[in-house]
Amino acid sequence: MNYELFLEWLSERGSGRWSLFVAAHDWLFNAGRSQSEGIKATWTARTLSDLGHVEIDWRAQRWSVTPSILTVLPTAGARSLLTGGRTRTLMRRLDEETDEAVTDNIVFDRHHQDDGPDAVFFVSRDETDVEELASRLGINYDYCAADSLSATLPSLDSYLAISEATPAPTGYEAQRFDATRLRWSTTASDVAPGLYAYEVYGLPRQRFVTQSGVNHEVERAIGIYAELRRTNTQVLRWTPDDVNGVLIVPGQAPLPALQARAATACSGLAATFSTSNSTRRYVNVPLGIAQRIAASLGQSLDLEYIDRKAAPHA
Amino acid sequence: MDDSSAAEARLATVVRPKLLPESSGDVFSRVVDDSWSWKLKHPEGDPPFLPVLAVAVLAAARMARTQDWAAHNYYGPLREILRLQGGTGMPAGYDGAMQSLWGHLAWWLNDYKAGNLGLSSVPAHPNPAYIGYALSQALFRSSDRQRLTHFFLALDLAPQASIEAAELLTYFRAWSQRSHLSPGAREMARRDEYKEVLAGILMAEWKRWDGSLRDERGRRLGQILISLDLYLRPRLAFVAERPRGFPAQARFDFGEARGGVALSAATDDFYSELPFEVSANALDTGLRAQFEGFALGLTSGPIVPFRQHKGLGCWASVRQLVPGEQHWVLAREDHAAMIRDYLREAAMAGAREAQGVAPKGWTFFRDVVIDAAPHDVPNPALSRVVPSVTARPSLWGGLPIASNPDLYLSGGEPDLWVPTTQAGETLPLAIDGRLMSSDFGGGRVALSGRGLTAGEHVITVGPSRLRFQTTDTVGVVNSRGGGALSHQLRVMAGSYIASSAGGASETAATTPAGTVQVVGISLLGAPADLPTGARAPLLLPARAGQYIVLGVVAGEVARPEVPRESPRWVRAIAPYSAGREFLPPFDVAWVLVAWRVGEWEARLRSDLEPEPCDPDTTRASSVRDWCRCFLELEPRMSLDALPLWSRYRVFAEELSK
Repeated sequence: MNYELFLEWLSERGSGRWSLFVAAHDWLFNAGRSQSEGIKATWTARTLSDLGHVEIDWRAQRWSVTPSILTVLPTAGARSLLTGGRTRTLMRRLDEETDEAVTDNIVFDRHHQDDGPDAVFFVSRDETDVEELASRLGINYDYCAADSLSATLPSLDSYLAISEATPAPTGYEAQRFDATRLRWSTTASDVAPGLYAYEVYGLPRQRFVTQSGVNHEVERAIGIYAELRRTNTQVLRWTPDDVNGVLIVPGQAPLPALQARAATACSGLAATFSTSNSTRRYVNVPLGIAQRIAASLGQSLDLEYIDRKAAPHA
Repeated sequence: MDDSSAAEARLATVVRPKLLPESSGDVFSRVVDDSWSWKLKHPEGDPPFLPVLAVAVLAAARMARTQDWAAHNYYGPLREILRLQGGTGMPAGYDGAMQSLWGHLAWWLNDYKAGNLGLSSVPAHPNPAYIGYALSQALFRSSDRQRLTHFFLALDLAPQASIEAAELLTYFRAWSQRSHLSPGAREMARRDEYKEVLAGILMAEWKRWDGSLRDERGRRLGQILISLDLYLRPRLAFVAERPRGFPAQARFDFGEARGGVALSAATDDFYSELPFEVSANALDTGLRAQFEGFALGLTSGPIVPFRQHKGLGCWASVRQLVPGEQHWVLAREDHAAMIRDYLREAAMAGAREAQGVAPKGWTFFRDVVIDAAPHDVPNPALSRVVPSVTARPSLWGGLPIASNPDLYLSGGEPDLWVPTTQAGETLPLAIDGRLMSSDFGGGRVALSGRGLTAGEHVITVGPSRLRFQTTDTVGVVNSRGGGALSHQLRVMAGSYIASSAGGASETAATTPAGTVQVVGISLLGAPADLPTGARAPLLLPARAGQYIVLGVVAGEVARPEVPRESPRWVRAIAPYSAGREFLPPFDVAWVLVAWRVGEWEARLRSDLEPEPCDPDTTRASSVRDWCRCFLELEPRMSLDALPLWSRYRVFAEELSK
């Protein structure tokens, strides 16, 4: 319920400062909770960003709701998804437009998620009903946003090319990312190639130092995949399901924003977190989209499961 | 005889010759006559009756030193100072004289001098009558009046804001008990009989307040904060605020022990760090400094909360712990046990002692979050760490809509926070006129979840009224300001290149050629710059017997096989789908679905007219198949699709000849 109310508020408000997001978030989610039970505003922001509801500018400390959009999910039993802003007026209009007195060609329902707002799914007689509904509501329509989005994913190199920076000021306590164990640990020196995080006022900052000693100020997830590529560490897996498959990502190496969004847009569901093996699982990801995500991050997708399955028949 | 007694004796010597014997029926008539003469003829000079008023204040101060605050205990000292013998109680003519003399003083200060010497704080109608004039000056000292600036700031008031005397009085009485006011002022606040005098003083001071903080001498005051920087090694320092109008560079005098210190502005709001160690001694005694009419001060106290300070970029001492936010708390050794007990009771899990950060004799507690007011009135020594928003009832949290701070989204109504009242005192609490509690002792009240309807709401807590509005929606389908941020990409040789490194950034009003903006799952850009994706998938009804998909161009025909079951992961997700996707290899004109053998339904997908195929393929089997569908099948369809179907049929007939 809190995620729903929070998304409604974000949508009604439209955009604002990060501090406003945090204040409203903590009032709604964390009142009466201990710190260990509390939900971090950054986690919620990333979930909402992955689901395509909001954009966050971490440097300018601003957030903005994205335009509402209907899209058809890839091979998902003819389901479509509503994402982006969800004002109460939009949802009321949606109720009216899909009322059985008006049409029996399209219906929608809310699917509860524990770690995010409800996913709003549609089934329709055919795809034209979805497009027409979007038109009647005055919102956007894209027949397969997951596919389009995955085709535009920028490469790691393009992120590094625009993030060159001077070395970090000395004196800060630094942590280094261990690509083998996927863990951070305190380090005395931040000169050697690798990924470093610095606890500064506000949000932590990361520097990626290349093999040639060039410093890049990067987002955490971009930095992690740059370091994984530097150390030739492959962490992304894809296992087939009856249709499409599940993209499995280590919890300690979360996908960067656009890659996570492309994966999430395949199902409209937030990634589920498995505590047993500390992984995030994105369902219904077509192999082609999973490969585009992996390629953009310098990863080769682990398809061993498919190979193993195929081996007996070979 | 000590200095003060000698001074009192000299003052009495000045006054006594002006008095008449009590047998005259009006001891002060000559003084009052002189005051009228001064007022009418020579008001440019100082009031000649000031010594008389000073004696009255002296008598009131003597009374205040006892616990018996009653008229008889005032007139006794007054008579003693003036050596009015042979009588008791109010001297003859005192009542009328005091009314005139205090009135003339107020006129002179407020009207004639237009406040240039300071405004009068003498109440117009004191209670208790007559002695209330002097009491207002004796109990409530000049230094107390200056300290009221701290109270007004604690109320989060702005100059000229609207507030009633009763409200000021209620929260002043609670605030005063944990303040640095003089004992007389605090005692006055405790006693009901001085409510009116006090209310008069508070209103008078409130009306003249310019929004600045003042020290006890009336100098503008900048506060000295204790900063706590955690990087590398935790480090404490003193940093002085630089309120507007304070000099950019000045040599402040920190007293004999510390001497003069040259301070220069580090930012618009702060001076650079003070060159003093944050020692136990400095924390115990506080710091005071002055330069001309400006003062800097750190008030000592055994418990100091810290919160992240945006302007300083580190943690800094704050006046008050606020609910729900993370704090550090510095406590003197003799208060550490009390803090431990209190945090165990009130703080959320995670609070713990931080070793090696505090000066000797003090303890730091870190990660302190308290989000609820205590059930019982805590020890006053803990007042700075009892969560409070301001010193009067206020709204906190909620889901505010727009910049208008009192408009909230329905369901996201704010919490009401009421400061813990004076021990034993409670307040009635009502929401929209409905009494919720007749003896509310302060704390937090959630206003959400009460089913408040959208509209205006009024919360009444004792003398305070708070108003806020709620709305169900701002009434737009698409969020206002939505899409303001996006990921910026450049298109280079068919690849997409990131052009913003820190996540999303401001969305450009237009998307120039060669660029694409990603907003949520939408792509903005010229068609040529967008990825060439697959055709739109067709959504076909599941469980039909057969499907035929026909293109605009003759020969474009497909007979899709769709899986009978939907993917496993969606089977439990409503709404339950009865459809399947098919990605056509051509632009589709018609979809034919057979529910039973021979019973076809045609659905029109585009209203494009049929197009001939490549002449070389006219005889191909696919073209014959395409034509046969139009010529042999008799599907049912909507009436508006029928004319186009007929034209396709004619086209197929022509092609088949």
